[in-house]
Amino acid sequence: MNFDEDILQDFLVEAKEGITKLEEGFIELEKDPKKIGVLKELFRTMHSLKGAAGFFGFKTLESIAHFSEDILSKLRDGLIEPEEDVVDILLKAVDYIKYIISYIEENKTEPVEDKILDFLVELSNFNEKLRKKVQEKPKERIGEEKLEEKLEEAEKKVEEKIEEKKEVKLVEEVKEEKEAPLSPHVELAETHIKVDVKLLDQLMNLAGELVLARNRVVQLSQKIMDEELTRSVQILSMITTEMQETIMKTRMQPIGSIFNKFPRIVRDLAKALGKKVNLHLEGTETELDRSIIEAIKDPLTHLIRNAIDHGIETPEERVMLGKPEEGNLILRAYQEGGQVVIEIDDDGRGIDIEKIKKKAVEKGFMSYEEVERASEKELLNLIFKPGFSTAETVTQLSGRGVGMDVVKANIEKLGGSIEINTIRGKGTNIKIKIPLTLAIIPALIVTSGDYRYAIPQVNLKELVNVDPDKDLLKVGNTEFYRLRGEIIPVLRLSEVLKVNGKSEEQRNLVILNTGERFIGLLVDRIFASEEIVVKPLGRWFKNIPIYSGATIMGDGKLALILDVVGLSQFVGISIEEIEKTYEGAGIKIKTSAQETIILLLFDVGEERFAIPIALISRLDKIKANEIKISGGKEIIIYRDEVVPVIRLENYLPLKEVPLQESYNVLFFTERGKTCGILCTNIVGTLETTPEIEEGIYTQPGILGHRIIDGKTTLFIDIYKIIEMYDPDWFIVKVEKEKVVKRILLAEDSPFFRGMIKNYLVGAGYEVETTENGKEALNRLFSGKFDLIITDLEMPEMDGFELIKEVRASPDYKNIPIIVVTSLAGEDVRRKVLDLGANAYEIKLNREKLLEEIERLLS
Amino acid sequence: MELVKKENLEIVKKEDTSIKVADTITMVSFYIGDFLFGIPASQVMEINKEIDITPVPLSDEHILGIMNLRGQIVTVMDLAKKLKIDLKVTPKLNLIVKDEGESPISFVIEEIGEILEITPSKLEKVPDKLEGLSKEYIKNVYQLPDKLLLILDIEKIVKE
Repeated sequence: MNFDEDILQDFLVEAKEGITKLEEGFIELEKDPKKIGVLKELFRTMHSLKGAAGFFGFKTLESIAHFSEDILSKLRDGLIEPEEDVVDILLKAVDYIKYIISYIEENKTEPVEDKILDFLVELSNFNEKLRKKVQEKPKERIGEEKLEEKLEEAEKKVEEKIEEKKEVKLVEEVKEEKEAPLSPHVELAETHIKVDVKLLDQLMNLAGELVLARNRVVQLSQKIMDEELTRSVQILSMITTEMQETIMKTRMQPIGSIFNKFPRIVRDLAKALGKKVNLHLEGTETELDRSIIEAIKDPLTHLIRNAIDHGIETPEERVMLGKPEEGNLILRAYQEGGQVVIEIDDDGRGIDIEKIKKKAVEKGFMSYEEVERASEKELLNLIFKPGFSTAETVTQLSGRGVGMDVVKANIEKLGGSIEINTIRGKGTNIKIKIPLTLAIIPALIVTSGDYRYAIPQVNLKELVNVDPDKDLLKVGNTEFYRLRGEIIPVLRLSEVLKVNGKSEEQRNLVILNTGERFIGLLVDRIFASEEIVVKPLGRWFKNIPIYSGATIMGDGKLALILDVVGLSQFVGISIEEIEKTYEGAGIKIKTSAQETIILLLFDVGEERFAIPIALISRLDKIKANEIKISGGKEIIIYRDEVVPVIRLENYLPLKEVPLQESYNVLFFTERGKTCGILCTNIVGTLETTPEIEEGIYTQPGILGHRIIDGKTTLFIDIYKIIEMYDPDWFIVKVEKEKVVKRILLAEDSPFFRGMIKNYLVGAGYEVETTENGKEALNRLFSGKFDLIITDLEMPEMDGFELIKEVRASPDYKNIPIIVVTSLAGEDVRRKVLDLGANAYEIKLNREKLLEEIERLLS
Repeated sequence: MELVKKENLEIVKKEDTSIKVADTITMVSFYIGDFLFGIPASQVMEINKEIDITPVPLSDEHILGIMNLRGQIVTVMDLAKKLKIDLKVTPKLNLIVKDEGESPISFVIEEIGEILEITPSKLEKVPDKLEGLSKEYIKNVYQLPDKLLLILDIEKIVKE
């Protein structure tokens, strides 16, 4: 048969769209058989396909579509139910249609194969069977006949039109005529054209080149300093950026284009494994670069397979566990910063940490002691190691040689990361973070010797200025740096690169995140951050792990792009070893990892004090003569309000403080009440860890001390001080409860521990403090408590594990738990609430925390 | 009239190709020390003087680094080192060679020789007595009136 190539192309494109619609529709139908809208849509799609196939003379395709349509019409009119065998045969029909379409695409003609004919017979028989079944119910026959008539009529119309215009598109119009109301997507088609992807890729490359050329011109114009030239260059620059962004957008595709393939995969898989799975897709409209979408398809498929195979239990098991028979699998995508996050969330059995421990020892990944010491995160990360699989029997589906290590490698190749969180018995959450685009990435430019290197911004944590002689410590041949209590191994870029010749003094430490840990990279100089175009390196460099490509800089010179994971291989010894060495030397290394607070430093007389700035509502200066005496107490009138002022020297054993002409006042406000603390001088603010030393200076009102900038600094407990000043200050007039409620507090930082305890006691609670999760757990089992407040990052046992343990114990599974933190984050919040915590509060927010306690205890 | 013209053209074209294929190959020649090397002109992309090499630390000894060829990243190889010729070459020219499916590669050389037409049938095996370099990368030799032309096995050089 001879027909226009273009029309055939149109047909193929439409047919493919139709297949996708059909697949989605059938899955939806199985879930909710009553969805008449879906049925109508399915029928319509199948009908168009049949019409078009007939037009091109694809007889087999037409017949398959015809019988399918017939079955669908019976479904639509409620003559038969969408039972499993019906849906199965329809899906099978879609598979054959798919096969035929792809064959036509390649060969421009229909395949003639026995298996297709066999299926056609099967389909036809099935249809016949249904027809008989329907005829047994005489009442409904009329409906069917009517439909047949209607159908024939419609088909006739289709054929007529086709003959008139020879235009496939019209099939749709006929259909629309028949099926009022008119859907608007026919008009929509005119605003979109189909473009070859290769063309877009080429356009993207050219845009990259244009950016480089622009950068060069900008540099030249800066040298020449001609006003008119500068202005033109600015315009050129702006347009280039805009164009680049627009072209990037053309390559963006909604992630739905791969998400939509999963309902079918999930259905087939669940069926094969005898499980019931309900798949929810969220954020299908999230856009990603085309090349990335292609590349994450396989890893995602693998993870979904795992979730169904290992995660979700069989319906019987679920019922026994008191879970709904149908397992839930959520595939969620959303944008966060410059990245896209994809989560795979199941409510299955979770990952058995004990099993991982056992396997880790068996397979020699860790020693027995290491396993016992390892955190849950470290253990979970073993899953990504080559040769580690937790499935006891390797099933046909999950274990086919490609393991999680391949998944991880593929995601890392895209500049992404993967993270597992799991709760035993409740489910597993896998979080993948990937960049929006691969071609152009923001990067930090650093130097070593005479050459520049680019570090992808996604790997960058922070920049620190260090004095290598003082700030870097050495264990064996490995140097490390302590960043807010965390040990970070340090590499010198010049040494890694073995660059000879003298380097400038390296004071710039770039803290990098490899996904598993942090490393520090000491470089000569740091330049600004730039958008760079990633270019691959030739085959000679494939075995050098520290590069991921090269880029052309604005001046036309090249810079190598550093691969952070590759770099981390150069770290000599593990952090664990460093820790061991230092434990032996009696130095305590671990504190609250990453936890920092901003302190306000101030002097009273000659003493230096610190207080978290978050507690202070305002700072101001007053003259000494503004201080009045009222009711035996010193007050000031501040903004039409009477504010009592407190002199620290009256409550703390300080050297005599000379009278001053003016004072700085720190205002402290809570529940509408304000007081002020007089101080001599405000020193400034400092972001630091809440580390303090207890002992020498500890007394009511002082939590501890620390040497800051060579001066002993006392950390004041403002709640205690105010209480000393006026014992009734915090007492809210409520009826005193008869029973005093007991609170268990787990917090490793003495500073926070002291402060939280004091304000809880001040509010009338009895508080027991512990320094980590393990201690808290022991205490919990040996005493009676009404509520638990816990920090997250703690040594021995962290807050996450504590919550899990508490929730797993039958006696305490309902005790209220409040998580306190200094790092607020939505994902952490979600995680702790998922684990079973009741609330999530910021440590320094006394008022909120007390409110929450009250709410949970009432 | 037109038909005749077309025929003529075809004949000319035929003759042209037959000469090239059957009779001679165009070779680009260049010197490393006293050795004269040849590479088929069809494999050479261009020769230029823009020597601005960015070293790639940790790469093999015979890799000098990478360079920017109008937006393309080109790997730069020290051919003398690859061929184990004991000689320090001062890079003066880039001889840029195609590498199928990969980005091009540049051999830095000191001095370019003539463009030669050679007859394939006169190509000879690499003689045993040839010394002072690694013979595995030489495909054939070709006797010129005054010198021996060493034909490089580009594929082998590029792939190993």
